[in-house]
Amino acid sequence: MTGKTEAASEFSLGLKIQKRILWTLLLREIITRYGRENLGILWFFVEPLLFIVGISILWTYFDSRTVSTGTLAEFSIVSYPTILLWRNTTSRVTKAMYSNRPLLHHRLIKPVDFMYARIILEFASVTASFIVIYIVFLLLGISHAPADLLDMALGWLMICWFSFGFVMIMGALSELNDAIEKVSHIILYFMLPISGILPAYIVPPSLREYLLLFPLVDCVEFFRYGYYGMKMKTYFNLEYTILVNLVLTLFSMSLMKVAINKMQRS
Amino acid sequence: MIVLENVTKSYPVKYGRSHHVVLDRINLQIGRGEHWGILGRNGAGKSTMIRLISGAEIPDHGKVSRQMSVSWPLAFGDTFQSALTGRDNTRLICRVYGVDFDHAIDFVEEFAELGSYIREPIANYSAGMSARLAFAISMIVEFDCYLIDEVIAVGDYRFIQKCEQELFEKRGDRAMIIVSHNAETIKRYCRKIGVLHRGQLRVFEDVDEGNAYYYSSTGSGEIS
Repeated sequence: MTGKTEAASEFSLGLKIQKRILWTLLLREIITRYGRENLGILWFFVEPLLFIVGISILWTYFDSRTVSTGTLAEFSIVSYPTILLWRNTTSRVTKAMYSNRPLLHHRLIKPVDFMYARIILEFASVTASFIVIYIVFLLLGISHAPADLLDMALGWLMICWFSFGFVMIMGALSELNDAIEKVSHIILYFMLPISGILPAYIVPPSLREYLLLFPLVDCVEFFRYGYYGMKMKTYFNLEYTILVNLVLTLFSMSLMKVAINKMQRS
Repeated sequence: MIVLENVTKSYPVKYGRSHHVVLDRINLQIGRGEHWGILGRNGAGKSTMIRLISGAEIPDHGKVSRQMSVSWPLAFGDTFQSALTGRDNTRLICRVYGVDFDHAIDFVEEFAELGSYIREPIANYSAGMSARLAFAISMIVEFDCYLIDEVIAVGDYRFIQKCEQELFEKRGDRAMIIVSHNAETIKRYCRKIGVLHRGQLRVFEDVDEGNAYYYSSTGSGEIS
């Protein structure tokens, strides 16, 4: 009995320390990245915000076609930010452990904590800017209220989940091989066709079948379903996507373990 | 108690085509309150040994077990974040170890004597300033065993005196592992000594005996 409670209290202490360490690393990351001066912490969401606004304006003015479901600006706000989740985070996590090595002298900090801290910060930053710009677009009348807020939120979380696995793999690979850092932007570029940024309904059905095998496409389609509801035809298989995401997560964690092992031994 | 058992560590050289063995099956036992000096020339593996004891790196073979809390290496610079200010570095350490910041920063400001520089990024510090800050920050967390990597050697006379007071008077009951290439430093602070030479660690209960071995094995009468 006592063994059980001891283990439980040890676990809760470990959890408390883990929370403290992640919080510490998060704050440090914010200060080193955004500094204490000028806009400082505001950059936290201004940075991706400017990007999304820029893309929306570009798409609206240089390509004034409207899709059957509304303006391109409206479409871009529920599509483009999803790319930022996995693309920006990838560039943040490559070599994250290597460059933070000096901090490993503090035994409470584990190498993977650097990954988690950067992933959490990037996801939070993209999510915050998405919410801000969505509200602005809503007030401007460009966007409408979500068809189903819960589905939209779940869709966003599913994209985050996929992105987590994806960036953990990219992060682990960058530690295992120096070349990955140099070719990562190429990998990211070739991710675009399978990123779900194009709505699946405009893809020929024969091709769509294969496209939907990529979990990210399903995640983004589900997210857009939450926004457009029945106004736009969306395609996704949730059971399949959850299963693939799960496998992806497990695989990324094991690969990360290999990378950490290699780093601490060299 | 800290025990190193058959610890071997090598690093890849020639782009991974071969390995340079830095430490070859070394053994060491550090009891509570013992003051150990590790002597070795540049590149003998002193800092590697410190990193293995601190846990920042893992040995290829063998085992490092710790039954007491071990500090990070008290060395100037490399454990801290050069983009952060002295103040933010202090805050970082306080957060990691769960130490009260207000109390700690008072001590750091007084000890490091950095004045307004405490609010400047460490990258702008002189070597002496970073050494003072590093030492001061290291004193805000209490450990059973302190790892000291030449830090005391870089300061001026007054700084050395202050360090000695904090470390050897106030915390004289703790275990310490001091690595240096300077036999005089080791003789001054340590009761037991290990000499690193060609990947081997030889242990001496008597400091003078160890020093004599160090001079004869390295073949140079290093004077300082």
